[in-house]
Amino acid sequence: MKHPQGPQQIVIAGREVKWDCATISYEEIVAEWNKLDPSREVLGQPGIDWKNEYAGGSGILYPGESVKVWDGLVITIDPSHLS
Amino acid sequence: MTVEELVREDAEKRGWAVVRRPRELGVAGVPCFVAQDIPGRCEIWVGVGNGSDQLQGGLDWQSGNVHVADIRGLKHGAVYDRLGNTIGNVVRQGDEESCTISIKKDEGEYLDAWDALKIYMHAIYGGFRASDNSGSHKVERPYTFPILGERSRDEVQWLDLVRGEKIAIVGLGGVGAWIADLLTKADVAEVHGWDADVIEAKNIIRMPGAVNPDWIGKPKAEWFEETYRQIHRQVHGHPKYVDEQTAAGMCSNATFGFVAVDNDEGRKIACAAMAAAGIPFVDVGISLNRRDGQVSASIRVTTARPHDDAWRKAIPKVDKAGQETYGKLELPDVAAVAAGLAVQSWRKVRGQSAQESASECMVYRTEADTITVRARG
Repeated sequence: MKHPQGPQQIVIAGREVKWDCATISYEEIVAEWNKLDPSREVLGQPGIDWKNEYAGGSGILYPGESVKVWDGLVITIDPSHLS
Repeated sequence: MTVEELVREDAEKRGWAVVRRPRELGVAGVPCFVAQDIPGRCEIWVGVGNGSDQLQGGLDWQSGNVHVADIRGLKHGAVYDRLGNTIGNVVRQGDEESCTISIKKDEGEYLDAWDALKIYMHAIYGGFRASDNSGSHKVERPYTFPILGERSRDEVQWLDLVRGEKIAIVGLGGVGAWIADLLTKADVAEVHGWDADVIEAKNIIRMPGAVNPDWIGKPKAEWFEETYRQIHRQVHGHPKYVDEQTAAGMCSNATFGFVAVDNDEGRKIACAAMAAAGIPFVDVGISLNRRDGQVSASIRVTTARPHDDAWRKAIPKVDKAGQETYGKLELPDVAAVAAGLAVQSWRKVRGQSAQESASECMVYRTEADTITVRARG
């Protein structure tokens, strides 16, 4: 579904992205990240969390889930999980 | 607030799991005395109708009584209070590990299964917390040296929450070694460390304390056992890789697990084995990012409770991605924080540390100084 206010400025892994849908899913985030930086393709199931710098709020996103898109949404991807 | 909401809130606050099966309603992880003077945790079950909250008979263990509860996870076929008295009227003593007890409600009949569960929970947990009148108590501690044996009743109860705990730590690398260090000082009964790798030079500046360089080339599990047996009587190192067979052995003698390994396969096997055995566990991992000459780190801690599968989505599956960066950076401070967060999660599950709501997953980011928490759904 298109965003009612048109394309929104969001940040995915430190890169600014215009996103025109009302939500963005875990899988779309991974695909977008791979497009932004093909040299570091994320494989498997990375850790993803988000915060909204303007409206407030933050959360951890699991595979199969989506988050509402608004200007100021910052999404962070953790491509590794080491001990 | 309904009785069901009260039971769920009470269980959530104390780290117990409410479990619904087709014909049984139960709560797992309730602190109790599983034998005289032996603290542990039990499961309390009552019989319900299929899809209903009403108490219902017909289960083998009920012996024809509808209002009874089956108590599981015991050692001598009865559940005891702090003074050594059995709790409830034992109507069936099937084996050493379970018994069926009857407790009548003070006034009237149980309203439904939630009401019965609440009464049984309070009776058993109340028995665990019951006081005697003396001011100080001798407490048996697992250390090789005498330390503060006399404690107040509240202090003893707090230690009793983990006194029977048998910990399995899968992975004794940068994070796992710190977890092992913290847990051998946490009054648990046994600590088992599983890792087939040998100590490399780089490990020495990641691990806690000053590891003697003579250990380079020798198994981490051996270092763990030899070093920590100096202070804790029940420390065991297992120099083995995680596979289906070792995972089964790991779970057969554990009541809580920590998973701190780098490869997806070992992580998956360990987590799945613990979940299948009904053992709560904490998974922990670090993601490092090097940019513009600086490093940022994130730590992800997932807490899995029995009968809850959310960990399958919460734990990243990225195998050894990022290992090149990770291998070249020695950050014992980040490893220690990761271990501290993991051990705090364990204390919350066991009711030693307070928590506003049970966390399922948390992410700490060094660059933003933030912790993002996902509470249990």
